[in-house]
Amino acid sequence: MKGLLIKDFYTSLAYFKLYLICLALMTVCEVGSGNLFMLFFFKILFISLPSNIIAFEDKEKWTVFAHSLPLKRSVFVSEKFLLTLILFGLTCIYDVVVALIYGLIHSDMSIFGQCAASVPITVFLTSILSLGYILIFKYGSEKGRMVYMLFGGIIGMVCAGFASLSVNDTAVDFITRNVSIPLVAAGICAVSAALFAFAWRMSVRVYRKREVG
Amino acid sequence: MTNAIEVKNLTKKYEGFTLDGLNLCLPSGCIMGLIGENGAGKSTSIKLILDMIKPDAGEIKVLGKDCTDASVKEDIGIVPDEIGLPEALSAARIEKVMRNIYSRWDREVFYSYLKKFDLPSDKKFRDFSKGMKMKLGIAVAMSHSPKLLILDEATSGIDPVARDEILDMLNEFTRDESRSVLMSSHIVSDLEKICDYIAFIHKGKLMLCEEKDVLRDSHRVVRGSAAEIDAIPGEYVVGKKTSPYGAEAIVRSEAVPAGLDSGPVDIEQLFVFMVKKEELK
Repeated sequence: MKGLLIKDFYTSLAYFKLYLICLALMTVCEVGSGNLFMLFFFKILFISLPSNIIAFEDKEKWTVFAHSLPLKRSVFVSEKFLLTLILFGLTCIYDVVVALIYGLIHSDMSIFGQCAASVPITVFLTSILSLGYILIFKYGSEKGRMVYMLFGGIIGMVCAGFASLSVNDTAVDFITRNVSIPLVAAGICAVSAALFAFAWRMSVRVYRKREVG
Repeated sequence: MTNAIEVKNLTKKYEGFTLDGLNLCLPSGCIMGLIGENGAGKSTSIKLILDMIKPDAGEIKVLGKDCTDASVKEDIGIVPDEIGLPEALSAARIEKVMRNIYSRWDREVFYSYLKKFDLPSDKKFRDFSKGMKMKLGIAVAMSHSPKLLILDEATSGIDPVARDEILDMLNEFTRDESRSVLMSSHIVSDLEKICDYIAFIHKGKLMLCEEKDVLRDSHRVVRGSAAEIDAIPGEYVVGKKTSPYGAEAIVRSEAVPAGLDSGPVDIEQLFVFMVKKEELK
């Protein structure tokens, strides 16, 4: 596992230098504006970096070569999920650091509220992204990502369809009066953690059966 | 003598191709050459041995363990036809990765191979030539004290001098009787130079698996007129070729007719004649 993490670290350094430049620009923008949601999309891209690494691995035939190494198939999958968690942790630390810098410069610590609010959203999006790994580990990076995007598109359209329907105002009133925001956040985190664990387990299962090479 | 590889009734079906009931046995301390034309099933056999693909039937034991046991790969060094090392990493960084994967990784051995092969440690893998990539693949495969080396078309695309160096190294490797090599190649002359055992695969079927010296001793190339060659009983003839200038056949040694010109057979000739005979059936 450690060897694979080191490999991915070096690969990231080599291929994703642009991310570091964006990160520096993002820091300047966020510290200046005090808006941690400004480059939210970029953070999600950062968390999805392992799927880009898998694309490089497929292209470079590492996916095949790696099966000559004394590692179980579950280790290859788990390493990518662990990397996703590490990257998620890094984005959280990044938010806290930016908030701290902003707070010290502007003497305003209310920005930490944004920090707390961004966590459940990031957690949820991370778990949604992790579902894509099931398809990537089953079909390979290229085909897997296409299938994932296709599914995502269909689900997105279905959701948009539901959203356009008229919503019962009484139900919305009931929810906003009786359910507290921290409870909703905790619920989102719990559901996301369950989705992430499911994606991890399913990815291991499909990768065990996959024929490589 | 224990066996490095034991394959029994191995079957794998694809659309349009079947690896059909392959039986192989590679004794420890020996080098086995897998010979076959493109698509014969050499790489499929190697992938099955390495548990990259799942067999439909059959049994594979590698170094006495089931091939699905990942720990057995601590003792195997692989050199595939396309070395899949990370392209953006230098040899030095690849060493750092491998050091944390193999429990018996030997850094000094790795760097001694880099020196021997004249490979730069700071150049990215993607900037290496095909020959350099192959050499680095061999350095990686040899630096964790493997007991079994598996090379899949590893010498193709490499210049003759480098190929000769690699063959010498493989010979050196099997001086220790606990070490073995399974090597597939199109370059039959390479296999003939170093192999103890030869296995012919044709269209997914094992045509023969025999000690190289036994194969050579038990067959002769006979030359004569078409009538003379046709007079040799068919069961002793491995294959024959007729031209306007005469005929040539590979015949089992015990059936070489007296008075006919005969000479030693080389493995490539034997393989080509056997395949042609098989295709005439």
